[in-house]
Amino acid sequence: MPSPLRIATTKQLHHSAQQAGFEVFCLPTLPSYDFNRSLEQRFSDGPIIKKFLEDHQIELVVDFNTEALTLVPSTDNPSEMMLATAALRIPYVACYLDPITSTMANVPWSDHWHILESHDWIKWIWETAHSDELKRLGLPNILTMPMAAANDDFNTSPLPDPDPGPVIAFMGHPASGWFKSGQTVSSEAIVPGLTAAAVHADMPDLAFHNIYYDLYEFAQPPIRSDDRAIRAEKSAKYFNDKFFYNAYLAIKQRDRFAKFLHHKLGDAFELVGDHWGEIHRLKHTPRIWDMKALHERMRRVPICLNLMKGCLESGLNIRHFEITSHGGFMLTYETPELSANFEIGKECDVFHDEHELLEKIKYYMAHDKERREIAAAGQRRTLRQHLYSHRFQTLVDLLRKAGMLRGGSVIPDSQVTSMTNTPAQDLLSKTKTDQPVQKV
Amino acid sequence: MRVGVFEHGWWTDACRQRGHDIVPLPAATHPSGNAYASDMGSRLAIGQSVARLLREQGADFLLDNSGTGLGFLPGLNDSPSDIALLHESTGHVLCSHFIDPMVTALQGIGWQTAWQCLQSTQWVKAIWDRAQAYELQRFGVPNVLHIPMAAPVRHYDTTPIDPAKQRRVVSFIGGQNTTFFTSNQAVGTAALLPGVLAGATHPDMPHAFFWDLYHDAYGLGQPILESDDAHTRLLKTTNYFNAKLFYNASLCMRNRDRFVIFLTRKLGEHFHLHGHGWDTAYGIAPRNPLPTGTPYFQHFRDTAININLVNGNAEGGLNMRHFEITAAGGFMLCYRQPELATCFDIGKECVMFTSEADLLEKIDYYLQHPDERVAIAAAGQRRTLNNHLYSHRLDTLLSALAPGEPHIKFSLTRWTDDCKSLLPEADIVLDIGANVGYMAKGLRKLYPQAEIHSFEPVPEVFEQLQKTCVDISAHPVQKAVADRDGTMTMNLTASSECHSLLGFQEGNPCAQWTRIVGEQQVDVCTLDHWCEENNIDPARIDLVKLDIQGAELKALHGARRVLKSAKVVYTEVSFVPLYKESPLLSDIDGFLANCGFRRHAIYPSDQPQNWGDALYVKT
Repeated sequence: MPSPLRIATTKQLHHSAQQAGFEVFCLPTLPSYDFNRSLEQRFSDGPIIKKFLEDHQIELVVDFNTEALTLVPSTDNPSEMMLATAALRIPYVACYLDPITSTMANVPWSDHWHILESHDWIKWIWETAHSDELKRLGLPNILTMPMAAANDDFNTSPLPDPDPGPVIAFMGHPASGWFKSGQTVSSEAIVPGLTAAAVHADMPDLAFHNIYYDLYEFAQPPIRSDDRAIRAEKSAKYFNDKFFYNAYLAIKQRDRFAKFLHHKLGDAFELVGDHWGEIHRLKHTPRIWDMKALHERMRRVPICLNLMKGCLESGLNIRHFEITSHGGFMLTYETPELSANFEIGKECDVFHDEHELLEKIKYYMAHDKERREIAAAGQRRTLRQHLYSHRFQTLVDLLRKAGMLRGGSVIPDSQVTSMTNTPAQDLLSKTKTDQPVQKV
Repeated sequence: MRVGVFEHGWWTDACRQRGHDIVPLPAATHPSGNAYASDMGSRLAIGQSVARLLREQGADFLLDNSGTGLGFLPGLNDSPSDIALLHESTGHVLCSHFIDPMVTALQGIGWQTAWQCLQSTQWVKAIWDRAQAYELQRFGVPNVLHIPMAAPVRHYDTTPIDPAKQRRVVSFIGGQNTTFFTSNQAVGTAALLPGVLAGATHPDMPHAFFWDLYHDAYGLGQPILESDDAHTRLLKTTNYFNAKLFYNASLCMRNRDRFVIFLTRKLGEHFHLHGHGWDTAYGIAPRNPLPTGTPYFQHFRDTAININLVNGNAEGGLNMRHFEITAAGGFMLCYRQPELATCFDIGKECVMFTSEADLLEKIDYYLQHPDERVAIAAAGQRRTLNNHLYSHRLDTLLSALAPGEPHIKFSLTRWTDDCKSLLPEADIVLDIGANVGYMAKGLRKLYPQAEIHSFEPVPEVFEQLQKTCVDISAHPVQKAVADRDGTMTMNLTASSECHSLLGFQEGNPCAQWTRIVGEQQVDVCTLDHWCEENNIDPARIDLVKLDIQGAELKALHGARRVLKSAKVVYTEVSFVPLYKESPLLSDIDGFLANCGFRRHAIYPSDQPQNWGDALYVKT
């Protein structure tokens, strides 16, 4: 019987990795695990992490959002940097909760991009469109795998009677503060985003990068023969040109429904989160920091509304799994990947527009038994398939198949594969406008 | 008739073709050549000369394009601030056909003055875009009609086209409509929010107009209320149109600019672009402008595929090019637009594309199927020459202006508020044409204590109504209501909300929903007999609600005893015939007036030019 794999994680993932049956070590205390900390800080943290990994004979490191990504001088060329994990030939997986552009904010973009281009680590992305665009931009070792609920002591008893008061609640912040930021924007700068929004309405399976590079040829993606600085510049331009599209998605997928329900339902709609007042002048209650209290609220409000983060084109956010894992009844705006993870109408329910949202609220308020049955089925599904312990098992299986564990550490790009495929490329080929995806 | 036409070729030719006398009148002008920029001074100047011409030559009514006939005269007290509307001073009805948004067409006089002028009940505002007509109607502007654009009356070549002689290219004629993206102006992000909200919702709710989203869905502004003073009304409309600015710009991108950019990049030399503004906006060099007149129309015949993209600032209407291309006999491939199906048989008289992918596929297909292409073009030409010339629009306008035809002014209040104030409590409420019970729920909310009877004859629909009735404690009745008892044929239509005892009316504007797809025998009763049979004292019935797709008058005929004591009738009313022999508003007005009711208000529907709801109260 081989000994269990020795995994080092940050605190948040510790319990889930243990539940998956691995020997888990908490990474050592650092001045900060802020995923936005500077390059200098990551250099000074590098030796601490490296020593810890050596001392504990760690075989895999997993964190959220690159919070444990630290650097040491390269073994080949001490004037260059390399990941502390790579120096020990240990695979490192960063599970991104946010888009890569929202992490490592205090690292200059050219350095950030250079680190991302490194083959020495794996970027676990939960959103298909985002992982596809990163591959398109030339990043190696992109792993596409959905989020999950953190393992917990789940309450699986029947739902309590709803609290009197609001019939539906949304727990989250506005998806974008851009519209109330007092900023100005050049009208030219919004052309790519506005074009993409218009195209997406007609061809919902196309992601921004398909529209930007293939349909409209707004720019050329980076290619291997480009100078390193040019590649970083091209990627920066891509994300800058996408900025308005992200703001549009923020309104499309989240903020509009909060405004709508606030206008239509008044106090029957509870908005739990920060900044709604200053950004949209909506009445709200502050974010619930105590996770136990938050999860209890999900069980006690009749309908838990789930709205995607605005900056994302596809995928399921963590709230999909949190609400269902704690037994809440989830009513969510439909996203492309939902039906691959839940049986719609039996384990959660969806709406497609404002009218249907109101209809479904009315329906489920009049059909309590059905609401409870769906919530219970949704909980069973998530506890069975969508916990981080399940994701850990899948991750380790993938790494084993790729020969990356227990000694075989250099990560060949082609061996890390996605779990999902986007239909966008297939659809695009039908437009007869397809350009070969640049191989980096 | 004798028509005063403000220097406009389309209307002049249309009047001539219909045999009307024409009194040519000078239209507003501006030194820039943009008549829309014509200011108060210029309009005062033409006012004097127009008044003189009208005195000398007389006219039955006045006709212009986009308000260029709106003139002013000095008022009675000789003060510079005292001015009067020309057409009101001379006692004429002015009819303006707006081919651009109101805020653009009246830019020279400023929105404040324009808004005051719009209140003139002697000014008929004919709007080509249904959404723009709708928003003005919802703002309470009187006499707003929705009338599509058309092709000019002229000689068109109707000889068969030889596809082998056509240029195998794709052509688009049209300018770049907005300077928003090229001005490189710094825009405050907050100003973009209403437009982005509407743009984000539109893919999910394509039938909702900006007005619906701005007011109803998101409560971004307050609609105008009866109690608002003139200043408040002005402020509300100003805020609304300012909030819509970015949405208009985004529509330019959605409806036009994106496809021009796309085709330029994908087709290169095979895409021929004629129009202004593309080079400065996107660095796309257009070809030489086309000469006007015959060469312009010949271009559509000589080109294999004519792309049509609507003016960006339109939410729903068809632009002039739809009718020009087809009138000329050109093959039209156009981006989808809500009103397209009301003017053309799509796929037979023109072809529609729905996305970039679809556009390329259809270009490819129709280049490879030339015979099918010219056959569609020929059918499109027949349709436009038969239905969509300015002479046809003139007929529509004249019928709208015919004596005795009521000019509809919609209420700014909600019917539920009005009904509650006219009838604070109700004993029995009859909900005729209940469908699945949408209205029954509203009636229950309005009158929590009332006894509600909901009538619906179609079995599948009735099943759902029964469930609703359980929830709201109402009584479902599986019967149609008419002027006799027994059984009748219910025509089942494409939309389940349009099933009717009446037949299909050819050419009705709601044909896509009222098209008959089947029939069913249903039980039918008169309300008077039903009361008798069920031992219900008609004197207890306070409110009768009717929504039975044109059969309202039949139902009222069978309810004379009920109507003796009923206090309020709330009924759907048609302004144009939507079913065979369906009564119009004036018929319902007349019948209920004889029964002692007066019309209290009309409330707009989502097709305010076709139908609405009217509330009648016992005098």
